[in-house]
Amino acid sequence: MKPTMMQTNRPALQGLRREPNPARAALRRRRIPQPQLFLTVEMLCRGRIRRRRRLSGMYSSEGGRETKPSAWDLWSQQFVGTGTSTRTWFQEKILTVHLFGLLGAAPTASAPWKLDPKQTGTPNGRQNISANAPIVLSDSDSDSEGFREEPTPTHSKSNGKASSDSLKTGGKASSDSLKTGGKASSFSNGEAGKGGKTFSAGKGGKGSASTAMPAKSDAELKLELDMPSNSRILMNCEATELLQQIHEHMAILSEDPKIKIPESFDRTFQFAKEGNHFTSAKSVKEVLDPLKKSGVTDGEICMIANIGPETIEEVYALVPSLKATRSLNEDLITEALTALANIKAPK
Amino acid sequence: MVFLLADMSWNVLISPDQLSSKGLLLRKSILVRLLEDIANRKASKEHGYYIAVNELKEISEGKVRELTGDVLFPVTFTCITLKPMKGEILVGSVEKILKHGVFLKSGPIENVFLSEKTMNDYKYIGGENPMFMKDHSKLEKDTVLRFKAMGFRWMEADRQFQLLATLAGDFLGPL
Repeated sequence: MKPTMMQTNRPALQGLRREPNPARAALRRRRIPQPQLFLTVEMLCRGRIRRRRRLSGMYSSEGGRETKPSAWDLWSQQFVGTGTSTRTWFQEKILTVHLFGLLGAAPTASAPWKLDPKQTGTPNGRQNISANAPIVLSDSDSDSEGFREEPTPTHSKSNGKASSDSLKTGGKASSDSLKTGGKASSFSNGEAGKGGKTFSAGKGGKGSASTAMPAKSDAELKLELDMPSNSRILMNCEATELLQQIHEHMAILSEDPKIKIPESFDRTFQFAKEGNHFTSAKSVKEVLDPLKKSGVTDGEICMIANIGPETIEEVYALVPSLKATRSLNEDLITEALTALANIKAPK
Repeated sequence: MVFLLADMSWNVLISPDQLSSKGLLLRKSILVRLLEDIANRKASKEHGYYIAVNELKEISEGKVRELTGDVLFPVTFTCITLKPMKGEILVGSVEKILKHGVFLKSGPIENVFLSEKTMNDYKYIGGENPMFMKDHSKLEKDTVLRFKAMGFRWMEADRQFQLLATLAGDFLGPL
């Protein structure tokens, strides 16, 4: 074997190299500078094999060459995989874009530039949401953009691409899904400290998400009244009475074809009637007004009236915010409950 | 869902052919137009579902729009609305049962989703009549149950709310 430039640099390789053909040897002798612009596929593959062998420690006599991986290497390995170094990953990426585009070969599973979804993580190290098993609920018509989960579309996106954008997409996907989480602001709980909380929405074609809600926090979720300005809260009983009056007027009004009543009126009227447990709204108000003095908010009073609880434990279980001032309001609530029991309408 | 009695103001646009000389007819046409507008609007993110107009407070002076000839009347009124609140206890009936959850219907809201994961101990039983079962209680179509609203979302495109429910907690479940 004629000793060539490359061979003399790697004495350990002598046994592994095949007989080089003269054309190739001529190429080498021309001493093409890095980066190699003129590469054959074979040279590329060989280089990759050699590099892989070197990094996996096959050439143990070159112990000195293989230095300890730097912090950059360790970080980048989560995107690149442990098989190669980052420098080679970038180089190969640039090459594959051009070469594989020309040759038309698809990237293989062993290709180091291909993002392995299991290893991909966001730079902050937060759990990648797309790693969760997607659940597809494919039935209804409305779309599901706002729910915090958007794993499947972004997941498949990052898998398909074999370009330098794939890294960006991986990072972008998680920030997108976090952004949509921000958009659906009513879903972002006050208890934001619990990480990894996801909702399943699954409506429409896009919908696919998985739930991982800790059940403990659900029970403790407090009522958050998001009332617009200039509005007064109505208990179900009060609303039922008002709607009843309107319903009576409606009989006359509906004779005029031009007058339009909102669609949801009928259904809501039914809902209010079913939800109303009491005979008279006025008496309910009288019973529950004293509670306001001991710090029970309007919303909480409304909840108590709407639920129609039977025991005090039920009240505390369903309206957890009252537990905070339990010592103050327990007696009053018990009294109120007994009074309400008297005016409850028979079902 | 909480009922609200909201003070609202709206600009009612009356076209010239309805502006007759008789003052009463004008008032009626404003009211009709207002009811029509509210019915078309169905719901808003701020107030929730519009249920019914309760009381007309004031019809202010009309302003003529120069190019079209329409007259704009700012109207203030009170309206009964229904808005879902986070953390609320609600009652709904089962609409559809799927392997991963149940769709419920409550009042005007038709899209209430209850995930299987929040239904502790309920197991899905498929077949011709799918249901969720736990010990002696069953969740089938039209079962009425009490749930807690985890959160809701306003969908601008459909102009309606979507609600996420949970059964995790005491005193929740079929009634």
